[in-house]
Amino acid sequence: MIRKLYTVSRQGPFLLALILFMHVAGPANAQVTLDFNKDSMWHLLATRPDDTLKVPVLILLGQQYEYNQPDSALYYYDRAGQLSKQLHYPAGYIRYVSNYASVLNTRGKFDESIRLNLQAVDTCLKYGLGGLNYVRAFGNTATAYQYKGDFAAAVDYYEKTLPAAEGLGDAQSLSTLYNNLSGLYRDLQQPEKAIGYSRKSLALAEKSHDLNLEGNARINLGNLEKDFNHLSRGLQNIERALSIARQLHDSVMEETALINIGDTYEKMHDPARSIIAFQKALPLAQALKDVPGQAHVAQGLAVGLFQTARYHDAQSQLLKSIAFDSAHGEKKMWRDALLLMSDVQIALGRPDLSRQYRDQYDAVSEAYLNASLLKNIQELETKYKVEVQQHDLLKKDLQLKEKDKAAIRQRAWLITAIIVVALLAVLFILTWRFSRQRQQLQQRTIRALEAEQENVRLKAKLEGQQHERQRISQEMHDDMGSGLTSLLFLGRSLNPPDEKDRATSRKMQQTAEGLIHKMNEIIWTMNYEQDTLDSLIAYIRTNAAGMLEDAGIDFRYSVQDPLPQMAVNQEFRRNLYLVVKEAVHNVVRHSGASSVQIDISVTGSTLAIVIHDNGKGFDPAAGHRFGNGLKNMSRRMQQAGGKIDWTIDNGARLVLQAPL
Amino acid sequence: MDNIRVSIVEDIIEIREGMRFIVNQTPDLTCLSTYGSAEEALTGLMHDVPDLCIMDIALPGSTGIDCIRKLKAADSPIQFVVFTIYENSDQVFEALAAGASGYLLKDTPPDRIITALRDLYAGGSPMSASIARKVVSSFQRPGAAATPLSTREQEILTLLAKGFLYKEIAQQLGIATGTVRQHIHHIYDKLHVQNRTEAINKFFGGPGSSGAQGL
Repeated sequence: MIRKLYTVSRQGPFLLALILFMHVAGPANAQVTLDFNKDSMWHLLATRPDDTLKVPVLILLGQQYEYNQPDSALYYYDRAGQLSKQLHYPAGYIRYVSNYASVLNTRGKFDESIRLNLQAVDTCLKYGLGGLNYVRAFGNTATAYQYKGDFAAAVDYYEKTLPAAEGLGDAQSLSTLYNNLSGLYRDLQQPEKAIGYSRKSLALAEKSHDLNLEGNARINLGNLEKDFNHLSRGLQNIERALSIARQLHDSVMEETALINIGDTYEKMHDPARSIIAFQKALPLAQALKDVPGQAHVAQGLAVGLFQTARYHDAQSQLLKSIAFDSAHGEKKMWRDALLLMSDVQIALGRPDLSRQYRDQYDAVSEAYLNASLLKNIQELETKYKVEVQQHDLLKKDLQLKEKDKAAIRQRAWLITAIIVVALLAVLFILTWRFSRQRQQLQQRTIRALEAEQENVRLKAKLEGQQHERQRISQEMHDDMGSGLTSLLFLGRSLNPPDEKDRATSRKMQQTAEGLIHKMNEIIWTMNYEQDTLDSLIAYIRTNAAGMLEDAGIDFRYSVQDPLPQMAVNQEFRRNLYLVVKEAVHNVVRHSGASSVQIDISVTGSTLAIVIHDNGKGFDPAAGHRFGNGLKNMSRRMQQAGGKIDWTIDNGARLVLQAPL
Repeated sequence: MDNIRVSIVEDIIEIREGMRFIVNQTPDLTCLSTYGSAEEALTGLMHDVPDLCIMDIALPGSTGIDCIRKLKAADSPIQFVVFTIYENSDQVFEALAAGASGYLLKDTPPDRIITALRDLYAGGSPMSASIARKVVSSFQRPGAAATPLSTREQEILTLLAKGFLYKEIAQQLGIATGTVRQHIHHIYDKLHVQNRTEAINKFFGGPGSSGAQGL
């Protein structure tokens, strides 16, 4: 039992070595970068874009903190992990896991470590990563299992790591791996495999001509062989290790070898040689200040002396041993020494003293158990403290995140408020504009409605007027027209024999005809359908032409074509028509002309009608009748806002002008 | 050559008899019948068919226009002459659209009445500027089909609307005055067709409306 404990304690550094290796053996420049100060790395982080090169920098930065401020280390590792995930950089992710998990391991959080490492394993398989990444993922998973005490799982993962690790060709890591496997198989009581891996480790050490490795490997192998009762083979290996240790002047290895030789001889029931080996080991242990070593050696010596029946020597050796153990708190050794002392006292025939030592043994045994209990408690307390720290950290993190969230919330509120205000402003402006437009529109609509109302009113008025005119026309036409026509036909039906009566009858007919004609003129004037300029001109033309044709006078018209499309009022039409009629009447009655030229044109907004005959002309002052006619025409033209001019130029030339 | 048979529809007896006298005085004209109302005329003219019918518009009961429309709808071959005091009235145009081929002013001297009747019988028609304008706008009305008028007919209508006399139009277009009258007669024929089509369209809902689909 003693020796085994001792051997396990020797295995600790190997495990640690494995983990350390996983950290450092990554990028070739790692060692160089380690010399960089943190500031330069921070600078690098701040200035570099987020690329994969940032991951090793973060890892290195974390490693700077790992042993002093593990929380900071975790922070940087975490960042490396986040960045790797973000960049889909599996190798970076595995590096993050191996580093982060190692911190978890030191905190005893093995389950968490295992979970994380298994994720690395998944990543490895998913991306088909091999080599170093594979070794890291699988090896660290195995280590975590080993820490947890799940040796079967640890062995499984180490075995899986093995091919890749062998492929890497790194002797030191491979050797560590073999040693770990060997130790695990020993704990699992599988001597064949344990010894097999130990031999592999040795072969590797020999192959790489690394004496240090070879020495350690031989000690391990020898120990295994000793434990599984291949004592002579074990002794050979340990003795070989001893010579290597002396060759290398490695006093630790020498001490270990000598202690193990002592143990082996003891097991071989050769106490004399055992004593010699322990005696050689003692000064080394003392020089190295190896307290457990010294205790172990002292115990070994006492056992040897006891077995060779040198009870007095054994007693004195045990007295020294007990003093040393009690002084250095080596309770287990102390306990063992007291038990042996009790046996020695019996051998010396002192049963009372033996009982005394036996009692002491019981007490120390209890204390030892208590101590291991205490140790467990202390460990638990430490774990608890770590948990509390972790909890506090998480809480701080949470608070920080809460603060961040609060800040984000506040900012979100602020932005929302600004947006809402802006929207309200826009809404307000739009509403204002809309209402203004609507107001304007309403005003416009009201104005339009008013205008339309006015229009309607005027139209109604006009329509009323037109209606009235129409009614008068109709009545005139129907009643007066019929009457006058009857009168006309009655006149025609008369056929008096007397010449005078015949003249009267003719006169009557002419009067009726004249009245009908006049009536038609009035109806025409009153007819709103004839309210256009071209209608007026056409009417003037037809009537004048009719008169001239009846009188047998040649006539020629020249009318501007096209005439402007415009309305002319009733008064204007009546006046112009009557003036032209009068003029043509005068030509027919008084001028003696044989032809007439009538020109009608519109210049600007002035209508001009020129009536030029080839008759004898006239003197306005001469004929009373004629003068009256002219005066009449002039008055009508004035009423139409125009004037009448005349010249005598190969006949009379009458110029009528009126604004339209 | 047979005499031109003339019927007269006029409610005022003096005028009716005066007209009968004028017609009968003329060797190539015979007054076939006279009627004092549209109702009498409608039944009479169905059986006793004259060549020409002088039709007063304002009659007691239904109007001369109704009478013309009904007889024309029954494919009467009679040529109707509207007898009116005022040529530019809507009623004259309405009568022309309903199927009259011309009009005669009541104050026309007897000798001109005879000339006008002879012209009408020969296929010539009178048209004032005002009526010409109404005819033009009737053919240009929205919804009316592409004008059925020939280019020459359109020219004549345009000149008439400006107040040109037949003589002037004949001179300007290089045709005889009688030809102008005949063109006008054709224009009236087309006006009747257009008017009847319109009436049918009105009755059945017109082209393009859903009612026409049923036919």
